[in-house]
Amino acid sequence: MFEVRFHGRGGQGTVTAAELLSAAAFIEGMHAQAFPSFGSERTGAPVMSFCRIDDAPIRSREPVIRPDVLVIQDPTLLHQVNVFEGAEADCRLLINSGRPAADLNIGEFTGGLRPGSVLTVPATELAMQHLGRPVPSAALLGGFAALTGLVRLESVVAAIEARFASRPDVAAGNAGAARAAFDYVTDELAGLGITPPVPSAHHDGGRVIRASQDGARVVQIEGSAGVAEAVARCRPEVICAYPISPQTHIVEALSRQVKSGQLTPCEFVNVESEFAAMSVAIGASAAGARSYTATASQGLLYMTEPLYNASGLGLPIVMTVANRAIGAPINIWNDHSDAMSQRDCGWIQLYAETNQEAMDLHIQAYRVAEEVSLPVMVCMDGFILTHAHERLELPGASQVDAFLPPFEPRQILDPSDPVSIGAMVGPEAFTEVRFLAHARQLQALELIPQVAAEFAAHFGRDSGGLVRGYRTEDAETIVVALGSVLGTIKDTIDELRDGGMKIGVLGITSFRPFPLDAVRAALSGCQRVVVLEKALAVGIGGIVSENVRMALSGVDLHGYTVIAGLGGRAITRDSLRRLFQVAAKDELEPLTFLDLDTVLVGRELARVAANRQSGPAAENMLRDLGVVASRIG
Amino acid sequence: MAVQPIKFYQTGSFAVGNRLLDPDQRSVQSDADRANSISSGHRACQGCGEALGARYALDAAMRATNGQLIAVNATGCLEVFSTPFPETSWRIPWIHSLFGNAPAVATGVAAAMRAKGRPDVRVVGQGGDGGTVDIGFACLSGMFERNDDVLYICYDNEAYMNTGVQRSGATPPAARTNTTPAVGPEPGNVFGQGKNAPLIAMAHEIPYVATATVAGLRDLEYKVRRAMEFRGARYLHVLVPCPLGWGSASCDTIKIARLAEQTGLFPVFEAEHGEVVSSTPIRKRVPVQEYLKLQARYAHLFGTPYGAEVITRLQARADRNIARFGLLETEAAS
Repeated sequence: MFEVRFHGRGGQGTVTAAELLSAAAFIEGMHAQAFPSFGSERTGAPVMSFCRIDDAPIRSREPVIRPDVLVIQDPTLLHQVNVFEGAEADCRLLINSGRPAADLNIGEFTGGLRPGSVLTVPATELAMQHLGRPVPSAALLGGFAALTGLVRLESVVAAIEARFASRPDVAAGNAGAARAAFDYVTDELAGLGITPPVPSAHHDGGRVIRASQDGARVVQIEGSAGVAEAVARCRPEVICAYPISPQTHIVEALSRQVKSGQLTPCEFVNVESEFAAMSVAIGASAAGARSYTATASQGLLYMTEPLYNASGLGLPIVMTVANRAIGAPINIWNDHSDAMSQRDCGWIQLYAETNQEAMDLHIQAYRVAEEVSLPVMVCMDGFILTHAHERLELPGASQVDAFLPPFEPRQILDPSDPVSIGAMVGPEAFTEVRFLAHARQLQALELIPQVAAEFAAHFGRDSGGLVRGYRTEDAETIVVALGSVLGTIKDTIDELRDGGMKIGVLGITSFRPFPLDAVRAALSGCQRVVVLEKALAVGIGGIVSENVRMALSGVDLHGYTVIAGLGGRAITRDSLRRLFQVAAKDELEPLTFLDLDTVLVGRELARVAANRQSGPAAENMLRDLGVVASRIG
Repeated sequence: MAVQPIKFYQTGSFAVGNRLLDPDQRSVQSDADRANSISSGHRACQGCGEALGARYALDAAMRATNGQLIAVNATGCLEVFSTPFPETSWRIPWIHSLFGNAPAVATGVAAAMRAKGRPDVRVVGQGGDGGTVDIGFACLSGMFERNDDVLYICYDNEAYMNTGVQRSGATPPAARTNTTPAVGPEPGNVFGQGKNAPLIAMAHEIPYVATATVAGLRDLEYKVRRAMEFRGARYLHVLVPCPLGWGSASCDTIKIARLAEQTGLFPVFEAEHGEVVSSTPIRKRVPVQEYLKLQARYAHLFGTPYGAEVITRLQARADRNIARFGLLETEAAS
């Protein structure tokens, strides 16, 4: 695994740089993952992005903490942000500067690095020469190719050309800057007496190029773009959306498809709120149209009332939830508070571990939704998945058509056969109506694994299902989790297994309906269960834990709840390793907040104890921290 | 044997039925083949203005669309009295979702019809004043602004009657409701609040906005038919007296609606693309007291100096409407 961290400022193409590098690696046949340090950055603010490259699929989704290469797009950051965090002895630095590294006054940070591992390249100047704009990212990637030999210059250029396919002048300018920087760094290395690394002739990460007439292909794209492609192939007839981060890229991509006529017949309705988004979906679905929308966070809460209505009316709407925290304090980053708050609204809830699974789950969701007449939320971690670029297999249109038959609703609003939908039901039948809603969810419990199996047979990929175990067979400790953190947990488990610990993880894909039997079967042989969850039931602790404990009723084992990743706090392998080691010794508290800054909390508690009017806790603590977004991991 | 003289002078008037006219001039409601969109047997109160207005409006819409109509209903009296499970009065495709989302659900239905290539199927959204001017207003404005192909009909009985008569944004000044009780130094609803939904609808410059009352049922039928001649967002605001909430006699529903028009308190007009194109003249102008005194919700205005002052202010509101919409001038001109 090769890990790169980019530091730049908003407007310098820092996020694009990581994406282009991942695309270049993809062209080389490798697996790559690129994602930004998610934030509310504006032009000029410090920005980070990350790229991991490997011959095998990449599972971990923590930020790059110990980079192999640091790319600094703006030298003014060197003394402002701790860009050197985690830079160990074999880390190499590529800095955008017209001055030699020795003149940058960074010796105190780079003293521990090997000689010759800090290089500068005048990327902004090269960009001005070739592109006419001070965007140094492409030049730095050319330099990166020369420095590491990890990707060939031609692949970097090809990635640039693909990215800017609609703007040939921009593509040519960036490609020129990349070539010039490549030559510059090659000369620099020669000057230092370092033989420039030669790229291996061909990586082969098992890449399969499958392109067909109907759009089936393997691509390196953002998770949101992948989900939009998957949704489009499901042939939705009405899409309605209200913008909320981090869901926006999905509906933007779909609106382009509809407006350009690629996706037809389909109506795209720009509504005035999430409440209206779900309401439009209700009307469209009741009128017999396959309907789609997407939301997150506050938006999901704002549509709470129509959510219950959609499930109560049995309308098979599919919605992406790009999971994000709920305020106050307002927080745009990922956790599961939003979807978990709606766990009892009658929708099926499926949680995606990867972007490929997020795509696949949408296709399966329509099948499940329309067969049991229930709406489905496909939950994918906001930013961590929605904004991550990685290799995705896009299914072909005819492939999806063969798997997903056209929507044939049980009852629709039709002038030729008038029905009344949504009548009032009194106490004489309301319990029975609710019982039947539950029965339909139980029916889905049977159906979800069937559809997943059929999907695997049809598309050649395992996605979905109820639960998925990893190294749980002889495990004494089993971690339970949902969503994208499963990848990072799996890598941690491999490490701990290498050290002899008997540990595994159970991923829950279907949280509603909750697979009590499958969870019980997977967990009842172990000695302890650690439920790691990205939401908090304030006043009691875990939400997933409650459900897991219900599955384990009567089973004698140790149960621990770990609240992790709230509001975008990175869940790192380092933290997980320590956590599982403590858990394995049964020294964990029943309820733990992973990486809680106890000093920070302690100070605020002391303030509250000393003065009842200590002010808003969040602001107090941020004042203590001093720097906003100061953490990498 | 008692003889009922035929009043020939009703021909061509606003009276209902007109069975003496040629078939093509008769009202929709007088047609034996009318849709009966809302069939009898529902559970509305005696003298319910909303039930009457909805029946006329939807039958007219059914005729105008050749039976290709889907109705979306907000929560409220109309929904509750028409569909106690497992019964329904609706003989047209009908959906009730929530209190505040009928315009958006209607948008969804209209979008589905477009996607399915069914431009012949038209959509009516409907609700009471609470569902329209208060809780559903964001969705209504969104539907207007996007110019979605929906006719939205508000049956305005000037308060939340379904929940037991509480004030809404359409409750007029001085009216007593259970949340603007007739107590204290200024009993009833306060002056200077409330919103005029038809004028706000016009500000969206949608193709068609009109008001009507259940006293002018031929006029209501006409306005529904006219509305259906347009594509895009259309708004019809119908005054429907509520005997329960207004404290009026069940037999006075039509009379009170007519007095609302004749006093000028409820101007009846139509507007196209944001401009008023016609208003219904006041045939016999009456002072507001004639309207107010039939309703217990205004009983506190009579017999006190304060009440007299309030009546003067209400009369001023009526006078302003008359001037603003040319309710007397139009008569002079016609």
